[in-house]
Amino acid sequence: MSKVSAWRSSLLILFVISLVVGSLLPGQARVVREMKQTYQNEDPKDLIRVIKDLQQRKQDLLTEESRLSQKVSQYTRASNDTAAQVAQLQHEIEVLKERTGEVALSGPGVRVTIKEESSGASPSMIADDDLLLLLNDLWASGAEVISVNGIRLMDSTSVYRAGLNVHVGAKTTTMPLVIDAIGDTENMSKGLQIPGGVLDLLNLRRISAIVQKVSKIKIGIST
Amino acid sequence: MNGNRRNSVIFLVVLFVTATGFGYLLAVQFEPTVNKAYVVPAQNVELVDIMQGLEAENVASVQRILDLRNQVVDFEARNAATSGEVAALTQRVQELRAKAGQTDMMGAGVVVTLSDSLRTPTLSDDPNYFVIHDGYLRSIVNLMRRYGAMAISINDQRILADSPIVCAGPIILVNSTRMSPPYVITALGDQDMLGDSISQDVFFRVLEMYRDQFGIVCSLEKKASLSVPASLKTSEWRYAKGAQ
Repeated sequence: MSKVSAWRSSLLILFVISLVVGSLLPGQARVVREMKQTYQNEDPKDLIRVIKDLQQRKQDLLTEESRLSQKVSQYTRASNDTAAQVAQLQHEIEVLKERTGEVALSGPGVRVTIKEESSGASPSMIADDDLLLLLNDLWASGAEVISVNGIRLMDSTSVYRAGLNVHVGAKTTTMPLVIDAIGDTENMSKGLQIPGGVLDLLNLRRISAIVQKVSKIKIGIST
Repeated sequence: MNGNRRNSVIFLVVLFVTATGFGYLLAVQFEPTVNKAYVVPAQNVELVDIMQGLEAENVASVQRILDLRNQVVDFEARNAATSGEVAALTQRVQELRAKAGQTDMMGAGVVVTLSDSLRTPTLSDDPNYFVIHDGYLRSIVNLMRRYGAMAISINDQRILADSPIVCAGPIILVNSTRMSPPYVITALGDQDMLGDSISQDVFFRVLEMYRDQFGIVCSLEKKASLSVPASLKTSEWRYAKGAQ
């Protein structure tokens, strides 16, 4: 009898413990989920990075906003002045032609030269991911226009490897790659060379990448 | 009697060890979360406030830009009606704006949707396979360009050549704007060419394998009618100038 009752009470205790633990788990999971949604549990360094990006975005949006406000007030003033309207439109056409690749560009920037190691038993080879990461880091750190071996990157230009060739949009080029980027020279140079960044990654894979600051880079039209 | 006492002592010891072991495992399981929750909240609460404040400002700024662009287009339409020269230049400006990604675009195309796995990785799993990384988005965008996409967006952000896709820990930023999963990547163009080529590409197949094995969301749909928003970036550059 006593054995049976001890067994029953032990089962009861186990049941109660399981019940308590079981009831606590969803609460804990909910807390974790809520914290994830509100970003309260993120690394502060990541949040600071996000804030810096959002500040950059704010600056970009304000620039466009003030350009448009200016345009609206110019149009308001020139409502009966055809010559002024023509001048405004011509100015915008010139600016847009630079964007759409119809005009060659120049400005300060960086030149990144990438060479693979062809000697030895296992030659090194840059992967598509690495190339995309490098270009992305340049855009993220203030590049305005980029060319790869003289081929200008446009909105629809893909970059990928096929054997020994590197395809840049509809064109084909080969290693070594010379990547020219016009933009904020200091920022781009720093952006590429942060410890653990893309250049370290390339060096680890025995791909040499040399960054030079250039006071005047020329990038041709998109063909 | 002795036997019974011995049994209950053994039972209690077993129960104690089991409960302690279970408690220990629970503590280990939740330790990183608990530590983070108690060590950083004050600082993070402030940072999250700043982040959300900036996002609200940017949303308001986007709305003002869209309103101003509409006003500009209205002015241009009115002016074009008064002069043939203005009309021709206005048409040229509109074509260039579309080419520069400054107008909304509509058409057929494909949508690739990626999202983190809803499954929680176990201790033996590599959690990296359960989330969508910024590199996946870059590779999908590159594939879309390769197979003829004419306009691309990720969620509400237009992707141009200079659109960076970066990550800050688990947060993905596109055009310096925080993205939330699911990541809906839209490409306008020949839907069959885009859809068939992307779905047969090795990279997309790897993502499908992650979907089957780790539960991430990865899908591709061809659609007859899609829209891609305009870029909100200004068209004027600070450093690059027309070369003579």
